[in-house]
Amino acid sequence: DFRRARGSTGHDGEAPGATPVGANGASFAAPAGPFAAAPAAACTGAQHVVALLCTAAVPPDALGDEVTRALLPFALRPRLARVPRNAPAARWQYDAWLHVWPLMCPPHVHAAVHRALAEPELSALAAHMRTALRAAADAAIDGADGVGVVIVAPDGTTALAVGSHGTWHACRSRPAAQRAHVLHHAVMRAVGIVGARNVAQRDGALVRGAGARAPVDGGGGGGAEHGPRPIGGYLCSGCTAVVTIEPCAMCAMALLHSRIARVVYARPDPECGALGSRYRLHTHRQLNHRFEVHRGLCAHEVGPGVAAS
Amino acid sequence: MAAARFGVESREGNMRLALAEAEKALAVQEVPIGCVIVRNCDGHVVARGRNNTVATGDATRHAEFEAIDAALAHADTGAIASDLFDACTLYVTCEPCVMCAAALRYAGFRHVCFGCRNDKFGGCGSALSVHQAPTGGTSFQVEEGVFAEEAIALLRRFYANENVNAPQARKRQ
Ligand SMILES: [Zn+2]
Ligand SMILES: [Zn+2]
Repeated sequence: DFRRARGSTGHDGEAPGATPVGANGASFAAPAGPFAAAPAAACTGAQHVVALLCTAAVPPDALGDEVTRALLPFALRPRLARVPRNAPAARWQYDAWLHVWPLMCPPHVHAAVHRALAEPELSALAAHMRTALRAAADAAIDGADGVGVVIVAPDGTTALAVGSHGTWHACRSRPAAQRAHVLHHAVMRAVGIVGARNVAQRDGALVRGAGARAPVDGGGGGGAEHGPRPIGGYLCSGCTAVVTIEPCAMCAMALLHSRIARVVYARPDPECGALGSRYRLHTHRQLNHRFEVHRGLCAHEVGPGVAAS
Repeated sequence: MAAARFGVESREGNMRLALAEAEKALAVQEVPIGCVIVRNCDGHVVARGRNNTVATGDATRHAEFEAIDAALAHADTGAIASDLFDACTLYVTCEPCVMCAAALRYAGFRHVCFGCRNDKFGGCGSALSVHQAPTGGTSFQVEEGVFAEEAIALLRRFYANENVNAPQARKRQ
């Protein structure tokens, strides 16, 4: 709970007159009046107690004899420090800020994607998200939007695979012949396509002219290859999965097995979501691969009636 | 662990079939985990599967997925997966991972029997208990420990030879 350690402004919103936190998280607390009440204290270990004495950016000498004298019986010395104004929005911010200000735990899901990522990366991801949203709309069943995903190569621009899937709940109500394969969720299709690309590239070194093959799809969605040339790699390592809905446990674990570097999704799935809602697989201690998760990109563009991805 | 008994009496026989699949995986440098899907009423083996992640370049091609796909490929067109699988038991040499446990829920299995535990990825009690969670699909019962030693021995043989296809795990910040 990093709220306890956020002492400089005392709330999550923008402080009046505060410098907005840049994408690199470099800006810090703004003046709020000298020697304001100490709102936060946190233990950073056995040896140190850190207490916020004032929220003002006062010059070092202005800390004055009065404060120094007051702390003397406790063998404490006042120190002027610049601290982040907001809670960290990404793991790297957590790591970078930990030494300047005690933080309780790393963010599990970065609710505000816009605070964790910067332009032009945000715009590039939003463009991929719109591709995923189109795929999801194409996979709609009975008016309920499907799920779409784009797996983006480590270069950040090449879409390696697009997958889509009608929603699981909607699938169940369909006549069997029109129903999608129960395991062919959008993410599973896309991961399979990336695998086929990598294999084609691997084998292509031996058999010239062998093209990447997409798996044959049943129904209720599809998969398509994108990009001029395969950008081969080991599974999905270094890639970003841009998904319209929070992946379910099966899909999230598939991404974990595939060594995905980052997942960005638009809307949470409270029932089945495994990257922040029902589970937090990306930060699970036992699992051997960690990745970043960002939530909220293009969230307002996702239609209603969405379910398991 | 207290074992709920599923299916016909030959659960050891079924797990031996799963172990045979795992042996086949080992022979082609895949992670040696094998699986069979057996119909409860008559013990008919509906499908078999083994890990196939290296050949496909797809880390999701676990034994359970291979077996489910094989079963669906042979099923009558239009068969409903859950109608097929809730009358079956899935035998797998190692505890289904989180992904497979969720997949078994979607597929509609009610009974799963596994050999050894999967401490890293297990989705049936080890890392998470997806099999009994209030999430998508149907919950299922598990029975564990059938030929666990044999399953572990196979995995040891594989990891002793090192998985040349996997890069060293890189620590991310
Ligand atoms: Zn899913
Ligand atoms: Zn698995």
